[in-house]
Amino acid sequence: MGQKGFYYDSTICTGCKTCQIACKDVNDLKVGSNYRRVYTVEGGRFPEVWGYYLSMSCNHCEKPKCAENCPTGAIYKRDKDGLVVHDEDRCVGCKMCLWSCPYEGPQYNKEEGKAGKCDGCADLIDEGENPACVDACGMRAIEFGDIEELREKYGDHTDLKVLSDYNLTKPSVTIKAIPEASK
Amino acid sequence: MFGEEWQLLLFTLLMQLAVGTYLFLTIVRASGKIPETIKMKVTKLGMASVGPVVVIAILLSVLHLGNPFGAYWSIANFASSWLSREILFTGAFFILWGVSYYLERKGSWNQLLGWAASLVGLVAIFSMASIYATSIIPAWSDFNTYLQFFGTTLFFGSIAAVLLILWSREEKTEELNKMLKKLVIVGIAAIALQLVYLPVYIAGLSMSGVAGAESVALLSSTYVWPGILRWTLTIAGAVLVVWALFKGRNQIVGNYSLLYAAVVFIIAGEILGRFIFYATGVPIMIG
Repeated sequence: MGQKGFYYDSTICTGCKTCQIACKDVNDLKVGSNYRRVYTVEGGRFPEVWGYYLSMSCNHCEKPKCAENCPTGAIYKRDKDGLVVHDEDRCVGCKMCLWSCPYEGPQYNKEEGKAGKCDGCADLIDEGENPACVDACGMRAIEFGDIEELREKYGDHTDLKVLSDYNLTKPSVTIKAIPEASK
Repeated sequence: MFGEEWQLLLFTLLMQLAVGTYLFLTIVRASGKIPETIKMKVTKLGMASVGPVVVIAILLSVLHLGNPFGAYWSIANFASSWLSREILFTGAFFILWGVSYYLERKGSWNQLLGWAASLVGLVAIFSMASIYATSIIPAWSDFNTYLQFFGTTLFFGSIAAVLLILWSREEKTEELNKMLKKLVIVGIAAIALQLVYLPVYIAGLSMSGVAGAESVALLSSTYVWPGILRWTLTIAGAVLVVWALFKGRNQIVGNYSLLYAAVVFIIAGEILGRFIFYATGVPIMIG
């Protein structure tokens, strides 16, 4: 089956962080834990300065190191849509996933002694809906769908300077950003 | 950044100590030149102490988990997770030690089983190093991790084996003394390799991107003096061991105080070295 993923248009993103909050709400996350995060990237030298926002969640990688390294199999890829999901009951809190993700996806919950991560709102997806972050975005900057279709529609861009090499985990994401963001 | 992982720091060091000690004691028992009764008697205490060290190590590693009661799940992903493999091989090493020790107590030590347990122990150390080598932390995903983990295994193992053998009450024969000297040379060579590789490690790390460069920055600023101290302790320990074994009066074993001082230096050096390993592990992040 196809691999689901995100398209994100950084050029229209206003950095309002509604996606981050919608995610926090739907996953009921504590202070300091954000399955989706909005980064601010700046650069250049006056007067030639530039900046952009980058909204990132789990990228539901084609080759997820977190799932590969997880000792219990708590993190696994769903067969039907390739979403990288997390089974809390199986998680032993070894933090191996935190050592495996170059996108800061998995996060550790000290109170529960377990990790947690974006599951692409798998429950909502199964009901035919969008992930919470997608529907919450006022600018319609995030789109969720079959990653091959999204890449065909918007182009295949993951080579941002601030991101690790694509081949490390093969993230299912494509990002439209200003030229300065590219490698 | 991972300075808080003290349980893992001790777990890795203790497992390496246990596997290394078992390996070297097995080698001593394999020697054809040392009479059967002597080589069994002098290694008895050492063999007995391997198991308890593994138990302490495993307890520490379980303590590190956020949810220790689910620990039995952690071998489920054996097919792809080095952590699963490490846990399985660590457990297997402990069981094989138990069986070999039981047979020894019954008076029928099995050399083949000894080799098998040593091999499984070494595979456990390899799996342990691979956990770090497959992380997104460039300072760990390097050949240096294998050198460091196996280096400590052989260094600790040789020193512990020598000390435990010297503690036994039996008369030490000339052949046994020669053997101990050889073990120590192997252990020191294993740790020296790491020092030789250090420039290659730093050079590779500085070319590996932002996170690697940050690790190099840490190694060359905050951790310069701890690093120098680590190698000073290790070299001093190695020199003292060699001095005690090769220059000591009464053949070789006269100078126990020198040997004890050496052991203190060696343990301190390895703990500091492992602390630096954890503390300079900077993960690849966004930005």
